[in-house]
Amino acid sequence: MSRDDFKNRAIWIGPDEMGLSSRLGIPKQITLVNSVFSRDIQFALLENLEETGRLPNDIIKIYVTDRGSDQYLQDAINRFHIAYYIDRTWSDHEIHEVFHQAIRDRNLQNEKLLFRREGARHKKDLELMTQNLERLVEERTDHIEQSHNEEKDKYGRLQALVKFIKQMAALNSFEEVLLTFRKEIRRTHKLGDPIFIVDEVEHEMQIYTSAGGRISGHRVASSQQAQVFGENIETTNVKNWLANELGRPIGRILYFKLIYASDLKLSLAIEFFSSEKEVKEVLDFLSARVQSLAIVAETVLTEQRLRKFSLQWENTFDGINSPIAIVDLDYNLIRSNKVFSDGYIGRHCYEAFAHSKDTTKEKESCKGCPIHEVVKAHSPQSGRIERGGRFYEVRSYPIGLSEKSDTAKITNFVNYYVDVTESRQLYLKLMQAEKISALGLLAGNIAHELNNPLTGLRSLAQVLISEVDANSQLHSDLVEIEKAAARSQKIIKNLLEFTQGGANKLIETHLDELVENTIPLLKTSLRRHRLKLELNTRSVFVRVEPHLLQQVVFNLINNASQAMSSLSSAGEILVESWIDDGLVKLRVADSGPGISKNIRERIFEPFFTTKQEGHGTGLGLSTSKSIIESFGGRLTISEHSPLSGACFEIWIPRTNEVAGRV
Amino acid sequence: MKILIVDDEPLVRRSLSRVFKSRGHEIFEATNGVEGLELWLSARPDLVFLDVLMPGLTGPQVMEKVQEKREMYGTPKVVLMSAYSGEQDLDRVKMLGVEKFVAKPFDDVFALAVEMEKLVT
Repeated sequence: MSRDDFKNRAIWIGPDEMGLSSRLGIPKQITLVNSVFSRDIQFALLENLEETGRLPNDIIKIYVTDRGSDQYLQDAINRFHIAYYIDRTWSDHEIHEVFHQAIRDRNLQNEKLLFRREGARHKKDLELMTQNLERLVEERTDHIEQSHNEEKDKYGRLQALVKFIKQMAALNSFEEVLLTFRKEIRRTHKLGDPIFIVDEVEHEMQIYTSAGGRISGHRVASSQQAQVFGENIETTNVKNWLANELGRPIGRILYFKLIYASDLKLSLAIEFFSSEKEVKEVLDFLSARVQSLAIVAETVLTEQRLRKFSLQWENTFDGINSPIAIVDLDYNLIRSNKVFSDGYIGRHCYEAFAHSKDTTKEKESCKGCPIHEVVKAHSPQSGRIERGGRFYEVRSYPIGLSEKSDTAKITNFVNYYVDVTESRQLYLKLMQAEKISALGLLAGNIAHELNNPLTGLRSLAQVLISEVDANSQLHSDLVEIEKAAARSQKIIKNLLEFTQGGANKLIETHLDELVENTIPLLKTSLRRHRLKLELNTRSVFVRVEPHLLQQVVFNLINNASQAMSSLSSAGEILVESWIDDGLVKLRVADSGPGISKNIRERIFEPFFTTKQEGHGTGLGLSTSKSIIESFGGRLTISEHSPLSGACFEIWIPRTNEVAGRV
Repeated sequence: MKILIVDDEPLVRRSLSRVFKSRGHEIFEATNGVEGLELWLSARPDLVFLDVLMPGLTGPQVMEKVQEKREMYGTPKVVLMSAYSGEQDLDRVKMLGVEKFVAKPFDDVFALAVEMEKLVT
């Protein structure tokens, strides 16, 4: 700053105004413009400190002093707070320096002031911002809270829906479903009781109302069945139709078609009492619920139908007359129909069926059961079992055998039992008849073959007898030969007659004769045993078919002989005949082991046998019985025997022919 | 008389032969039907014993052949013998020219011989 700068720029305050300022070359008042700020800096040069009070604060006060006036300097500083002084004796440079300093200080001060102002302003701004922020946060918090509440509401509504759906899913009956739905609907008070329209195949169309928490069904006459399930059905049409069917006015309805399948149609109509505006809110509430209603209703109705079919099938299964059982490889009974188990519940199929009539049998699988064959052959197999005297053909089918599963392990079987007792009997009868016929044929053939040489034998013997000396040994020998030949002829004749069975013509004959004729035929059979004959009906006649009666007698004696075949020593057979009033009676008794009560009860059953299939020979006792009965007589087994074994008795009514007449 | 015996059983032929020879008749024997027909033609018998069941031609079949050429075979008395009594249709064989049917075995061969002689004379 130059001296010229000071001109007109300083206030000279003091007594010696002219002196200093002229010396300094500065006017009394100095205004210095030297600031980074636009404000001018004013100086006041003071000699008289008392004047300080008059000056405004923002003028920089400089004390002008003489050297050595430290006292005044102290005062200036302490009392009047003057920060600068100039010594008159100083050089220009030193004086300038003070001004400079003062200006720098003032600048600094101003800067500080500015900063402070700025600072304050910033602070204010910050405060404002903070306020704003706080306000924003508050707003945001409110907003969040509000959302949160909304969410809570939404969640609450979802929970309610989920609860409803869970409830529905646990229901088993159609009625429960409808009632639960109704209960849910009525939580809003804007809807009426739901009305359900059901059209199931094979059922009549029904309208179910749920007023008062009770389901009542209303059958729709077929003539009144509207196309309520149709595609473009108008809700008003449905409303009117419902009103017509139910006999009461129906208000506005919301109509939903829930199920539309070929065999099941279901739709829902709900009266609603709110304004049109609230419809949307109600629809929101309803839509998810209606969906779950549709799903659950369909499930329940389908299950109902399945159950009905299942029941039908069960009844069919049980209604089948032949026993059926489903078993596994261990004979565990998985399933069976009524006829099979007859009320018996056992673990194994053989306990339930095969042994249920015979508790003495061991608990084991039936002989002849084909399930293992099925496993081996990988295809259905048949087997034969016996149960309580009846024979069953068991047809076993592996379950689930398909073409692909050729190598699959078979574990379960359906066993179907066919009672073949009768057909078996027929078969046996046929076999028997064929056997007899074959035997007959065979015997016949042999007999005829033998007759030829026998004819020659006997005739030649007769010739020789006539040619030799009647007194010679040769003659008597030949006579014996001839007799033997005659006997042989008789045997053959008997055999032929026996096997031919005759023409079933009844003739009058003597029982004893027939018995005697039969005995020779049993020579082999009676070889080991003793036969005692006591025939006492020679004088009376019976009206019989002789061949058949012979066969019966043959049968009885043969049986007796066979019964004793296991005895170590010879057995005894007693054949006796006697007259008892109007009856001719014959008894055949043996000393064998006898016949147990069980078997005695069944011994005349057609083709009941204690021998294995195919091993019985001759006539069955059943046939024998029928033959005797055809003569008007009876064949019985008696409880008491003259010997230790079995005892059979025949009685036949005698005829009124007098003895002697032929 | 001349007697032809047609039977495949040797003992039957022998026994019949012996009986009738001892009574002074001439015997011709054939073992089967074909042989029998040949002998029939050549021997011109008065009585023919014919067995029913023989290998080759049966008795009735022989008779059929004879019927076809009755002139050649003449009309001797024919006796059919069989173990199958009652099995033959008597009317039918009578139609074929069989005079009598005799069942085998014979009870008394001599009685039979007498009967046969009566038949022819």
